[in-house]
Amino acid sequence: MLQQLVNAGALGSIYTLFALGLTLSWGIVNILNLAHGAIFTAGTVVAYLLTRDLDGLPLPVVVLAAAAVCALISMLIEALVFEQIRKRSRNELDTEMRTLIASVAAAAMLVTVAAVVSHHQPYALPGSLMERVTWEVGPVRITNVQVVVLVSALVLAAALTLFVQRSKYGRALRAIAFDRTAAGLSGVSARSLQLAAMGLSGALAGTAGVLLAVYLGAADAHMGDAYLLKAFAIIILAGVGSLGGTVAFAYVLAVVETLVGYWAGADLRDAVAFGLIIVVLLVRPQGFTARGGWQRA
Amino acid sequence: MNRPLGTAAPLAALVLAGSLLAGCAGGSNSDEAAGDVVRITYIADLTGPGAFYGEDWAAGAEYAVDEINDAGGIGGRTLEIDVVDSASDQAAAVGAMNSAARSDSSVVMYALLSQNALAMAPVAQREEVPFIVGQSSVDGVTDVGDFVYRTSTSEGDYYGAMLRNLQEQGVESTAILYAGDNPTAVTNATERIPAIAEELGIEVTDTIEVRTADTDYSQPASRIVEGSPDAVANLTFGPAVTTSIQALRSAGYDGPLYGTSALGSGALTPAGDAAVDTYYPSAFIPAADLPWASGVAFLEEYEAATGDQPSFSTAGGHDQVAFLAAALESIGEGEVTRNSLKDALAVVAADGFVGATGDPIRFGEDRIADTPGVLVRWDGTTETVAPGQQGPLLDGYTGNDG
Repeated sequence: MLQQLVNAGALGSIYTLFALGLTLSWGIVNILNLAHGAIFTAGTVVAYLLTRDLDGLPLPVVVLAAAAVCALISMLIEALVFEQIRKRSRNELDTEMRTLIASVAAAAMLVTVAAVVSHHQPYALPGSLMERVTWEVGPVRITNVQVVVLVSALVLAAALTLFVQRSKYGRALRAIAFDRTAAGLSGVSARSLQLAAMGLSGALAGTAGVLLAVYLGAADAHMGDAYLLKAFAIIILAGVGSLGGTVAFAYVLAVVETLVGYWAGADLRDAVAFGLIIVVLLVRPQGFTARGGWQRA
Repeated sequence: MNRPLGTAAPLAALVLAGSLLAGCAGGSNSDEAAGDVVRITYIADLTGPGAFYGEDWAAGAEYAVDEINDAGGIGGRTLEIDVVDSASDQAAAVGAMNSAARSDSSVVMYALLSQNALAMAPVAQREEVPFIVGQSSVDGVTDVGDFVYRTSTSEGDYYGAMLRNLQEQGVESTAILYAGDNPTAVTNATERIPAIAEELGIEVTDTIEVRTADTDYSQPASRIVEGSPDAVANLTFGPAVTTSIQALRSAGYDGPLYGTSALGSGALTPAGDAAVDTYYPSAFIPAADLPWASGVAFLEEYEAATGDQPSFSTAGGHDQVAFLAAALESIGEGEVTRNSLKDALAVVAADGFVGATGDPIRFGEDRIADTPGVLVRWDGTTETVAPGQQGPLLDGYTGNDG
């Protein structure tokens, strides 16, 4: 059982890493970006191409490169697609619907590129990027990769929370999410901030992609899809906009999935996990830790 | 209220008219004779999810056509192959089959995806065009009738010998990890392998279902390790192959793994050293110690001609054309029609022909080929012939050289 809890800790960290960027774009700046999973995949592809062509690159360099490219992709999508949609839409609902569809299209394009680059085959990052070390602590086995994933998730979550809650830019981000027009009148450049937020969201997706590929040993072009669903589940359980809740429920979902999977198998595992979401939507649709727009994060 | 039709109606009319014209277009019939050139339509998954294997299947078939033509053809005829991309899409594959049936092609070939082959086979039978399928391993492809053949053996027929080989290495127990959303894996995991294991006295410690889209296998891996099996069957696909193997190794499992041919053709490359001691059956691998001479000869000739190593897909594509070539030999200088070709294929199916995947390759009454097969061991970088193989993997196979 202890081993399963360790496994759940690693899985929860992966969910956290993935969900953080989505929480930032959806929960904080109100852009429901369904291309987040594809940007995450792009991070794995960047790492794959870099390590395939350049021997001996250290993991931090690969992570930074993937984060930079994914930030750029995310900002391009924001500037060339989402921003243009906002300009042309008549109302908020119109904007949301069009942004949603456009993000699906952007995701399809990115995944197609990833599939072509990888010849529709799984691809792995070289083991030399991070040699696996296993420690046996009593009956429990822990690997260095699990530790890195766990620490990365917690550090990034803490840093993002501090940034959004305490920094001037973070408060400005929440201001434009609450009332874009009023924030604009008070001198906040909504356009620049949203661009920066999308860039940060993309960078988080890229970082998550590389760490996940290292942890799992391989990636493929469609890997982001499964995590996108799980991230939605986590954000809904936590309440849209709650960074702390997102982290907490990432680990809750991971523990539930691991234990149900262990005792009852893969089929029931997903049924229970997503059944929980239906219950939350019916009983507490705002999630467990959601607050008002201006209080978010 | 009447709505304006806009451009939709004329467009629909155009499509309909096009379809009708296509349907009325004259094409070949089953008694129309080929001239000096026998045309093959090779429908291949050149793009989309099947592309990784599809390209090799088509390359093998094209190589065989060149080989035959360079040798002067057969019965005074040369072969011409028209490779059509199905984009790994069922509708496109069936569309290509319909077009081929209406063309002057004497035979249609396809390799890979079971769902596509299942949809194409009834069209071939209805249009009476010989259809030679390569690998599609699902049951029922050849059930539609006598125009349809499959040149690869049902993989499950190799499992008995594979498990016996593992048992000889000291394996007394096994766990089974399988993709519950793949029907073939379900059958293998819940019926075929447990039955063989019981017959051999191998204990099944655990049978764990996962989903193909799963990414984190640490939980099933830990559970498998708790049962301390001597071997683990890995019946997963795609990226799950690598991630599940990595999870098993991280969980402390260091014994042999085994599975299906889905583990071949580079699927284990991303797993690298973690996958050392993984065993699976294959119709062919590019190894100089392959246990049948025709396979080694094909390997040497292909390498000399192209500079590349053939994969089992390349060998499979080659053998689809080799089957056709043997049928044309049987016809000799007689008339080549789709019907005469169908009859000649039946003769060759009973007598056997020499291919890269066996010598001879004969067919059962179900028109599915019997090939010897080889047990493969992954050594971390390449596919090798597993040690301790005694004869063909296929129980009951009797060949000149197998």
